[in-house]
This record gives sequence, structure tokens and C-alpha cells, in this order.
Amino acid sequence: MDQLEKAAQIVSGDGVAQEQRREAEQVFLQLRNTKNPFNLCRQILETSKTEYLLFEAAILLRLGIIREWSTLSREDIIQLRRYILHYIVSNQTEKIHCVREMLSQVVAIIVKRLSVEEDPCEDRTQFLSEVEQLISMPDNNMRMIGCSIINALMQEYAVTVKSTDVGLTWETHFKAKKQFEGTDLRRIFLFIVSMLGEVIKYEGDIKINAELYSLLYKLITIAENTLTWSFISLHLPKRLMSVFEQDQNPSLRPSQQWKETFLDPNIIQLFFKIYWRVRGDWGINCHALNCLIQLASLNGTVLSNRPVRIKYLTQYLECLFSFLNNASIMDEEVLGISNIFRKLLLFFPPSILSCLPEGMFQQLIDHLTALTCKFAVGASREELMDQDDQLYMEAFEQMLQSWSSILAENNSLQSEQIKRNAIAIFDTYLKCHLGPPNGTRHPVDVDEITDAVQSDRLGYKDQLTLIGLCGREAPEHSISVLTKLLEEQITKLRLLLSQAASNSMTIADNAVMESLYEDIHWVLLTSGHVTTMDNEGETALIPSEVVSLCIKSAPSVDMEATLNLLANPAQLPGDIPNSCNADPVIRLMSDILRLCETESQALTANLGHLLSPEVSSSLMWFLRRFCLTFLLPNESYYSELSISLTSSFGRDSEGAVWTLNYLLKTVEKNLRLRSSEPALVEDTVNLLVTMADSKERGILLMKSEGLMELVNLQHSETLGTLSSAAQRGLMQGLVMCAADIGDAEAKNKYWNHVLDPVINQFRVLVSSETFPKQYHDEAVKRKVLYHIDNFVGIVQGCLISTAQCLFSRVIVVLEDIVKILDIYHNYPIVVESVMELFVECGRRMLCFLTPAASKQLYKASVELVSAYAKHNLGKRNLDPQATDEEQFRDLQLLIELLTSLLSKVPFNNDFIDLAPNTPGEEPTEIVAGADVCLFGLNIIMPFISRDLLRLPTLCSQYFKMVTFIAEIYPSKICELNEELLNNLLASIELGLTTFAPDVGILSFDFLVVLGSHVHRHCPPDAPIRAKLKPFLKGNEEQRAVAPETTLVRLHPLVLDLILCQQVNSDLLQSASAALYTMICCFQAEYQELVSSLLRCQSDPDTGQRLAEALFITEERGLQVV
Amino acid sequence: MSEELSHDFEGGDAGASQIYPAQCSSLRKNGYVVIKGHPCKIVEMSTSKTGKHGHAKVHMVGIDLFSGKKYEDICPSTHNMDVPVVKRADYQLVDISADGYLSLMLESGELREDIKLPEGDLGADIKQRFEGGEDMLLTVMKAMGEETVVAIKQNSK
Repeated sequence: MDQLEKAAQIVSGDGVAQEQRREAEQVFLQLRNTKNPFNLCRQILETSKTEYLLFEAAILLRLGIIREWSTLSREDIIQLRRYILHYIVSNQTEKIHCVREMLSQVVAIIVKRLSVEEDPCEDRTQFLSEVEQLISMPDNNMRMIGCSIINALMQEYAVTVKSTDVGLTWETHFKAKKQFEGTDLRRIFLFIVSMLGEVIKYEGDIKINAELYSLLYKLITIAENTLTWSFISLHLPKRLMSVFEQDQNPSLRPSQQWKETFLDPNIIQLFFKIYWRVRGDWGINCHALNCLIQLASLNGTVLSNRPVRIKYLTQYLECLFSFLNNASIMDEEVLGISNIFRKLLLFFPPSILSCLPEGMFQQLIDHLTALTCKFAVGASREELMDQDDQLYMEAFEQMLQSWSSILAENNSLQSEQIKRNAIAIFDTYLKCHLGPPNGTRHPVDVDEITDAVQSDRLGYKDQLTLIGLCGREAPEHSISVLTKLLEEQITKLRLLLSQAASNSMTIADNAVMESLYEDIHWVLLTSGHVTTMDNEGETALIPSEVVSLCIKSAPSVDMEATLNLLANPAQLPGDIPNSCNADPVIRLMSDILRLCETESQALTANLGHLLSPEVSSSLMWFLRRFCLTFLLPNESYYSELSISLTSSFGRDSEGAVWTLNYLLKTVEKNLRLRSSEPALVEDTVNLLVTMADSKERGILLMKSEGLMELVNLQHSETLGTLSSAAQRGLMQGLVMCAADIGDAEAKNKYWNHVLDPVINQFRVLVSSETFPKQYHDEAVKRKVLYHIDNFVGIVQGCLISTAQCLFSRVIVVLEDIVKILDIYHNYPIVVESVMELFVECGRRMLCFLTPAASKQLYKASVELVSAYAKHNLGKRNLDPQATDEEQFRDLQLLIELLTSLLSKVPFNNDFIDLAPNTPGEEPTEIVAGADVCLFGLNIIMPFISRDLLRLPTLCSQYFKMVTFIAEIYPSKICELNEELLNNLLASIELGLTTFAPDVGILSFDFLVVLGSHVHRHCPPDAPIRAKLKPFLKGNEEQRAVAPETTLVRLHPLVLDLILCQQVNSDLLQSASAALYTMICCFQAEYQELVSSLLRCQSDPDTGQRLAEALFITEERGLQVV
Repeated sequence: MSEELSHDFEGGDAGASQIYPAQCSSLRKNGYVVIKGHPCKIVEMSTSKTGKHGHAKVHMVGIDLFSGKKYEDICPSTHNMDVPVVKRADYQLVDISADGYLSLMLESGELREDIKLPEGDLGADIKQRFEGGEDMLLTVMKAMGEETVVAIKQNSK
């Protein structure tokens, strides 16, 4: 005791020597291992006054109970629990909080474990009665203790997945939780509610009454914990269960037994009343609000049928409305309130809303609208203040999401009302983002903005999508508003630019221009989201609301004026006769082209420096979406399309040809004149690729004069200032145009025109006599890089239908390119480009190639890898900048290349192989694929070192590759030469523990696939077995002698890892699979290992338990085998 | 490496420029640039703009090819910057003189003795391996009139 007291004082004292402290800590670590510690704990608890020692005693009690549960009798346990409870209650005044909480937890563990062993749980029921008495006492300390115990008890039952440390299986935890939540949890809730009812009766200011306040706090948090309880509704597998339990805000989904509890209208009223009382209080209000949010999410068997759901919703809404009508909303509650609406609309869909009593739905929508607009305004205020916490922004987004469920199903609702409200939201949003006079936006920041700042297009994507939805609710309104704004803006911009051209622009005009650009930018973003939808991966369709608007306006539309408007982007709509009778949608699109034209004119007039790259980027973004959706639509997807749409953008329409050509010219101009804006170039290239990425558009493009201009521009090499990515994108777009041309001759002709010059120029360059003399020259080097970029672009542009054909053109280059690598081996930038080209071939082409072509690619790859090895094996780089991953980019690319080559292996039909099949050729191909990889592995292994693997990307790439190889060619791995195999296995060993979890999983997987192969196919004396064995039991000798410099065997292996609990819980599944495989491979060794482990155990009881556990594992394992 | 090439690398570029201009936006990471008079490898590149509707400026961080010092620069993306002409070639190591100069042999058989043994770790490594009798190829990098050894490799021939 004395020793403990002293040690405790040292640990909790200040200014103690390190050494002393370590010794004292050691004392406590040993203390935790004490066997049968209960009497010792009792002694400490009763005699000590040192806080730290008391706390350690409580921990020791907890450990002891869990460890020695099976050796204790029921009577002892109950007595122990009584003792602890008594101790807490009688020593409450002087005992510190953490000791009390820890002891409460011990009590809770005991109660839970006892309850597992009996059903029904009389003991727990009785225990709860005792605790409830405590809480009902007038003595506040007693009440606090009672609440602590209830909290601890709920905690014990709440989580099943992560609570293996109390020595129960997950299934037992699961059963106990299910039993608890149907019975005693409800009892606790009802009790807490009745207590809350009492507390709330107190008339004075609760905050002043400290005791009552602390009680209220405890009660509310218990209620909150009950309402956020993740009820078990299904028998889910453990893995899914963990997803549910980790859900930060589960919905309230109790079982049938809770029906009456929640249908009692008093419950909702009570929680609203409580919230009203504590609203202004920072400590409690969020918990009370959370209770309301949870109540809004009630669902499941409790609300079994429609009338019940409607009744509950009505009760809830009555309270909510009365709150909203009487309260002015405070900043800190906006998120909670938006969350309530979000939950309500999520769990009570429009089909239920439509059955609400007269007027109630209207009220709901009105509140929803008013709050959405209020939060939108709040959000724009927030942005101005540059706050980190964007409460209003988040609340606004939640409100919009609530709207989305109404808008998605509005046919069951009164649509006129909804339309009005949608317009209100749309207008408010636009107003918030436009500058005066149309809106209230504050002046634009002129700070320095880095490229790390997220673009509006991404940052506001979710909002804009929903605003687009609102806009489409009333397209006649939103489209005409947007059109009017855009036309005004274009007029203004043209005026400003013409002033600039005549040198009469003032400084004030600059600010006007900046603000105008911001307005245009927002109108573009909004228009883009109203007229088109996000179509990730699906066919983009013209939104039905937009189509109907066109059809509805058709009777009054003047087609000639419409087409005139479209075909004359240089003129303003006012100058085109009868433009007011044009189709509203086409008019908006023609205005977009008008904006293009304005930019183009400014560029021609040498005023490019006055244009906004941001606006131009948004414009390219808009055009890309427009292209996907409107240009050459497939009419069979629509039940009806308006004449205006089909004659402006339809297939066979002149409008479409004209528009495509116009867009090509815009692309050409941007690439030629604005190459210094990286973001704009990227968006422009994206537009081009999208234009080319469709059969119909491709065919038209091929016929357009613009395309030839673009091809000529590409060939002219004037685009030297384009970034490498843009260069590649441009080539990709050009190649893709021809993808779906049915006419093979036309396709060939086109490609001859586009590709031959590129390929020939390169071949002429490298085969010229002067090349070996001049390759050092910067100009030559740049040319080489330029050509490689073009080839990468060609490969990126390949599709299933064109891969073979393109490959036959590219293969000649690939052979030359290997020579380039050889010559430029000292220039990393060239080496990397070359490798990128091969990686792209492996990724994008290989799976479409015929066996013969694949073989050619494999062959070229082997040559590439050899060339790389020739110059790099044994090389030590002394670049001063050898600091980061970039330095090893070549190696990383090499690994990527091998991985991509592996992807085409006709193995169990699992892999992607879409090439035309030629029977009889396949076997050679398999060999080729495998050989390239193993060849590559042979090259790579010597480079792989511990230091290299510390680079995260390289590391994960490497492990992905080796695991992949092991999966496909385990036999080849077994045949590797000894040195390589040692190095490989050593890296796997390192992978098990040293790096990120994903690498750990891959390493364990490697053992599983290789181990299974060895177990099934390798004879007992195969050398590979000896190499794998250490993974089961570690190899002391080897560990001792291994030199520090290589990949050293430092870690105890799989079994040790698991036993010592060194395995991260995320990896446990993979680790156990690996252990199982190892046991299968080495049964005799495993048994010996187990016996030796058991021999080390001095305590026979522990030994027995360990033996049981280990042999059960083994038996089960063998049974499965 | 062919004879002519080695010759070219060695001294044939007397008339050629050591730098050339390139538009800022066409520079790439891992490429080269002259910052404040120093030939640098670009290790970081980012763009920024003044105000949302401003034009792009390129911000780059370079590391001096020879001294390893860090330099930064920012430049409108439309402007030109100087790019050093960087050449690299492999030489066979013949001898290390007492005063720390390397004797390097071109494939033509010609000798150069004007390059110093690099300082620090890498120099020590070269020396040690040379004294151990290893036949080595040294990669020499040259830019803006300066030259230094940047890599060593066992001569496989």
C-alpha cells in the first residue's frame, strides 16, 4: 500500500524526474496484472485518499471483473456490485468525478454480464428500480449518481461491434442489446420523461438553480442518448452492423414495443416545451434540439400505417408551427431547425404530406420557403464575413435538400402553390449572387486567389443542382429571367469593351467590369443547372420541363426569328426582327453564343487582357453541358420534342451543323490565343473531347470546316505554349471524332490526315542522321516531348471500336520510343513521358487488342523495361533534389505499367478482355503477359528498399502489383530465384505492419493467395514452404543476423501479431484469413507452436483456457480444409 | 554514346545559347527554369490570380541544380521566363587526382580533367568505390556554364 501511495504521488506530482516517473508508472502497469485483485481494490478504495490511486483501483476492478468472470460465483459478483454501489453512494462527497464514473462503468459491466446469463433479467429490473430511487431522491448528489449509472449502463449495451474487450462474443452482445432495447431501455426513457416533466414544472429560471440545472442537463442527455439509439431492426451481418453503429445520427427507428410511447402526444409537446425553456442556454439547448430532430425522424414499425403516420406528423407539426410562429430564430439554432425539416421530409414523403389536414401542408411549405430564403440571405452575409463556420450555408443546403424531395414528387401535391414557392427561392438565390441593381451581392474580393481555392462550380454544385430543380419547377419564369439578365449583361459588356477599344475606359469602369463578370459567371452557372442536369455516366436528356416549355410556347413562336437569333451571335436580340417571338430556350442558348462572340471579338481587337478567364471557363463548362444535352439529341428518347429544338439542334438540322462548327472555332481560338490560362485551356479541351465523344456529333464534326482548322492548328506546332495535358487533350479530341464513322475508308482517310503527319514527323526526326548529334539540343528535346504528348493523346482517344486500328498505327512509334528512352536515359522528363505513354497503352488499349497485337505491346514493353534496366540498375542518383516522390516517378510508372499489363489475363474470365477472339492463339498470349510481369518484377525488385517504400503512393502501388501477381501467377512467384524471392517476402513482411492499413491488407492478401497455392499444389519439400514458414512463427535466428541495410525481418509474424493485438481492427479480417492459410500449410508447426506457447504459461488455469481457444481454432480450421 | 555526340557535349556548343525563353504557362513541374539567375529544377508549381476574374500567374519553387538552394518566383502566365539548357552525359571515371579533380574519359578516348569530385556524401562514395577498384560511369550535368556529377553507375561493359 505504501509503495502504491508513493508511486501515485509521483505519477500525479509535478517536477518529478523522468526516471522516477517511469518506475512509478511501471508499478501501476504491474498492478493491472494482479490476479484476484478484489480485496486489494477494496482496501485501496477504503483507505487511500490519493485520487490517482483510487482511479487505478477502479480500473483494476474493471479489468479483474472481465478477466476473472468465469472463476467468480454469482453470489460473489452480486455482492461485489452491491459493495461498489454502496461505496459510490456513501462516499460521494469527497470522491472525484472520474473515479465515480469508472466505478459506475464497472457496475454497468456487471449488470450487463449478469443479464446475459439470465432471461428475463430480473436482476437488472430490480437494479434499475434501485437506481430510479436514487434519481427520485431530493439529494442532488444521489440523483447525479443515478444518472451516471444509467448512462454507463446504456453505454454498455449500445455498441455491439467494438465491445469485444469484455470477453463476450459479438453474437452475445447483439442478443443482449436487442433484449435490452425492447424492455429496460423503454422503462428508462419513460422514467426520464416523467422526471423531465417534473423538472420543467419549476417556474423560476432553471439556470439560477444550479442543482436543478445539472439534473436537467443529465436527464436531457439521457433522453438524447435514447432517441439517438441505433435500434436493431434486422439481423445484420457484423460488418454492416458496424456501419449502423458508427452512424453519427441514426434515425429514430424503435421496435414495435415503443409504439404507445411515441404516439402519446404529450411526449412531443414535452420536448418542445423543454426546448423552449432552454433555448437561450448554450450548454443544454443543442441536446434538447437534437431530441426534436430525432423525433422528426421517427419511422419503422411504430408508425405501421398511413393514418398513424399522419396522426404523428400532425402532432409534431402543430408543435413545430407554434414554435416557429412565436420564435425569432437565433443563429445557433438554424442548423438544428433545418435538420428538423430535412428529417421530416425524408421520413414523411409527399404522399403522406398530401394527406395532412387542410391548410397544414400549405403552412409547412410556407415555413419551408420562408426559412430557405432566410438562410440563403444569411449564407450570403456569412460569405462576406469570411467565417469558418458556415452555419447558414449549411442550413440553407439542408433546406434545399428538403425541397428536393417535394419537387421530385410534386405531382401528388398542389403544384401551383409549390411553383410559387420554388420561384421565390430561385429569385432569392439569384439575388444573393448578383450585384446591384439586380441583386444584393457585395463587391467582389480582389485578394490574391490561389488554385487551392475551390471553384464555385464545384463548391456550389449541390446548391446549384437544387436551385436548378427549383428553376425548372417554373421554367417559363426562370428561363426568361436568366435570358433577360444575360442579354443586359452582354449589352453592357460590349459597351465597356468598345469603350476600352477607343481608350475611353476609366478606372471606375474596371470595378464595374469586375462586378459584371461576377454577375455573368453566376448567370451562366445557374442557367447551366436549370437547362441541363448532371448526368454522371448516363445519357444526358433535355429536362422534360424545358421540353414542355418549348412545346407550350410553340404556337406563338416565330421559327424564322428563332433561327435568325441563333445564327447571328454578333447582333444583339433587339436588332433582330421579331426576336421577341423566338423560342425562349433557343433564345437563351443563342445568348450564350452571343457571349462567345463578344469574347471572340474582344480577342480579335486585342482586348484579351480585359476578358475574365473565370467567365470564359464557366462558358466552356456551360457549352460542354449544352453539347451533351441539346446538340443532336436522340429523338427516340423523347415522347415529344418541339420543332424549335429539332430544327435548331436536331439531327439533320442546319442549326446543329452550324452550332458545332461555331463551337469548334471557339475552341480553336481559345487554344490559340488564350493558352496562358491553364484552367480555361482545360475546360476548352474538355469541351472538345465531349463534342467528339458521340457518334452523331463525330460524323458532323468530320464534315465541318472548323475541324480541319483545328487539325491544321495542331500540325502547325504553334501551340508550343500549351501545357502537356492540353496537348494530349487536343489530340484525344481529334482522334475521337472519327471513332464511330461506319465508313472505314473515310475513317482511314481522316486518320491519315490527322495522324500520319504527327507520326511521320516523329519518325523522320528520330531517324535523321543529325538526331544522334542534336538530341541534346533543347529544341529537339522539346520536339520529342511534343510528339510523345501527341501519342499519349492518341492512345487516350482510343475506344473499343478504334483500339485495334489506332494501335496498328502507333506500334511503329512504340518501337522507336524505346530507342528514345535509351538515348534520353539521362533526362528524367523524357523518360517519364515515355513511360506514361506505355502506361496509357496498357490501361486503355490492351484490353481491346487482338492476341497478336497484345503480344506486340508486350514485346515493346519488355524492350522498354530492359532499356530502363540497362541504364538504371546499380545507378545511384545524386541529384540534390532527391527529396520527394517525384524522384521515383519513373519507378512508379514502371510499376503502374506492369499492373496495367496484368489486367488482361483470361483467367477464370474475371478480367477485362474485350478483344476479338481468334481461337488457338490464346495460350501464347497468357505466357506473354505473365512473362512481361515477371520479367518486370525481376527488374523492379532490386530497386525496392525500405526507404523507397516509405513513399506512400509508390508503396501502395508496389503492394497492389505484387499481390495482383501472386493472385494470378502464384506458381511463378514460387519459381523466382532465391534472392528475389527473399527480397519480395521481406517486403511483404514489412508491409504487414509498417505502412498504411491498405498496404497491410494487401500484404495479408498476398500471404493468403500464395499460401493457398502452396497448400494445394506444392510438395512438402518445396523450397517455397521453408520461405513461407517464418510467416507463421517468425524466425529468431534470421532476425538476429539480418543486416540493417536490407529489408530486415524485424517483426514477429502473423500469429504473434494477432496474439499481441498489434493488428489494427480494420485489418483483423485479412489477418485472420492469412493466419488460417498459414495454419493449413503448416499444421505440424502450428501444433508445436501452440504447445510451446502453452509450456510458457506458468498458471495452469490460464494455460487451459489458452489451449482451448487455440485448439478450437485449429479444429475449426481443419474441418474447413 | 557515339563519338560525335560526346564531342558535341564536351565543347561543341560554344556558340549555342545557354538559355532560351519559354512562355510561363508552358513550363512543367520537374522541368527547368532560371530563377534569379540560377538554373533550377521546378519542384513546385501553382497558379494564382488577383481577384476572381484576374489573369493567371504562375508561382514556382525551384531548386538550384548545383547548390541545392531553394528559389521562388511568380510571373504572369503570359510572360516568358528563361529556361536553362541542361545537358547530361555519361563518362567513365579514370582517376581521381590528389587535389580532388576527376579524370573522365569520353568514348573517343579523350580525357577531361576539369571537373571536381563532388563534395559530401556522394563524393565520398565515388572515392570509396573508385579505390575499391570499381569501374564507374559518372553522369555529368551541365547548365549555364557549370558542371557537376549527378549520378554514378557501375560500368557494365
